Amino acid sequence: MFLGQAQETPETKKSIPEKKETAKPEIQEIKTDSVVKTDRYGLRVGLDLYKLTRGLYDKDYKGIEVVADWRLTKKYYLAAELGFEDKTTDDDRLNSTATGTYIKGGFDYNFYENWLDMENLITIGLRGGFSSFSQDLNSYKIYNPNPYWGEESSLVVNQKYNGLSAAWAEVVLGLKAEVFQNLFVGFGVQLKLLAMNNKPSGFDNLYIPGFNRTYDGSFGVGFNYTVSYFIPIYKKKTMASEIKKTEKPKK
Amino acid sequence: MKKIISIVLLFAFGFSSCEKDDICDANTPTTPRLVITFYDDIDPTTPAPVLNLKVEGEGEDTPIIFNPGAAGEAQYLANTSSIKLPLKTNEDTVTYKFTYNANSPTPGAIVVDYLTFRYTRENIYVSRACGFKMNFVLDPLEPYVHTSDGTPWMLNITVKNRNIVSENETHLDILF
Repeated sequence: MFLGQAQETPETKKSIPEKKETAKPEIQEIKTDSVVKTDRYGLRVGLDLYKLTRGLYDKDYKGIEVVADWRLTKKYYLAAELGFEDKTTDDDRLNSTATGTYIKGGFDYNFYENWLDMENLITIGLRGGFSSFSQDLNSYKIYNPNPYWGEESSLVVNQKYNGLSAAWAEVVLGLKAEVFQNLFVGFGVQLKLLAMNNKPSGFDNLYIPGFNRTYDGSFGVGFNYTVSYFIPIYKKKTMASEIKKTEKPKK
Repeated sequence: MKKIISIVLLFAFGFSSCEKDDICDANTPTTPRLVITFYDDIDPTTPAPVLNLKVEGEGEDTPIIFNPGAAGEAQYLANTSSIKLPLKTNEDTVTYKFTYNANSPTPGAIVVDYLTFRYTRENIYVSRACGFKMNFVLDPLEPYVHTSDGTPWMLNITVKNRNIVSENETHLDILF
């Protein structure tokens, strides 16, 4: 739906008259490749609205994530995320809080073919992530499968584990649509693979900022919903079928 | 386009069902019980079954259930060569009353001994689903206190393993 809207930005309309001027017989136009496409290059910065708004309704969560990407080539974007999270995980037998910052960096590959001057993206990307955080074990229960003497209530400990860190790799599937001039709405899912996990002795990292909840294996998942603004810095003109032309001399 | 969206959705929901590690698996070693093995003084090398042994925790209304399948009084009677007793997780001592030949019609045949176990406790992290477990170490100087109402039926008590970390080994040998 966003993609449909984005097609009607003023930018794209400008190029339509150009197209009409250059060639009258339509078939010829395709052959001569005279449609000029302008690709804008620049920096896109934004915020993860999911993390930001979650703090309003989830008292166990506070978080913020700044996202940014820089267009490198026609299809490739350098991408990074920087964030902070404070999350209390309340399991049946454990209650712990993880607090820390994280950084993720990598690239996105846009495999969506835009028409004319549209700048929507459907991307697949890779990231490396690193988080530095602390954990607070607030309370826990002793698991006793034979509670002859009665089940024990939670023990409040408030044990703090500092100086923890973790690193992981991510595969990111993303979608960004230009809803207004230079304003993008995006959605992304991430599959994560934990590569390094510096656990505290006598406890575990149940939540890693940026990586999210940990599982028995080393996999993790993530999700974001971003609003970002594109700051155009320079433009590059390309012929619509530039690729075809350049291929010919190679023969 | 539709294909891509379906891939994205598959990706998102495929992993939302991964939360299988929320239930503590019964096979996970958690808080162990004290394992006692009995020996008859006729043959002190091979474990021997006791006769209708009933074990009650001090201050508890019901004895320990040894036969969950049996009905009535029979579920409290052990006729095996080995029993497992839960230690208190909130105190450093626990006292049990051991009644030998508990369902005997002749009162004179019933013998009652008491054992108080003394130990230290340690909490150890297991997993997200299981939380923590507790391991015990029997006191090196006085691991137990043995008393009896009359002539004790326990002739000799030997600590085999002070560290109670698993139910797969015997911690205490009792000769009767």
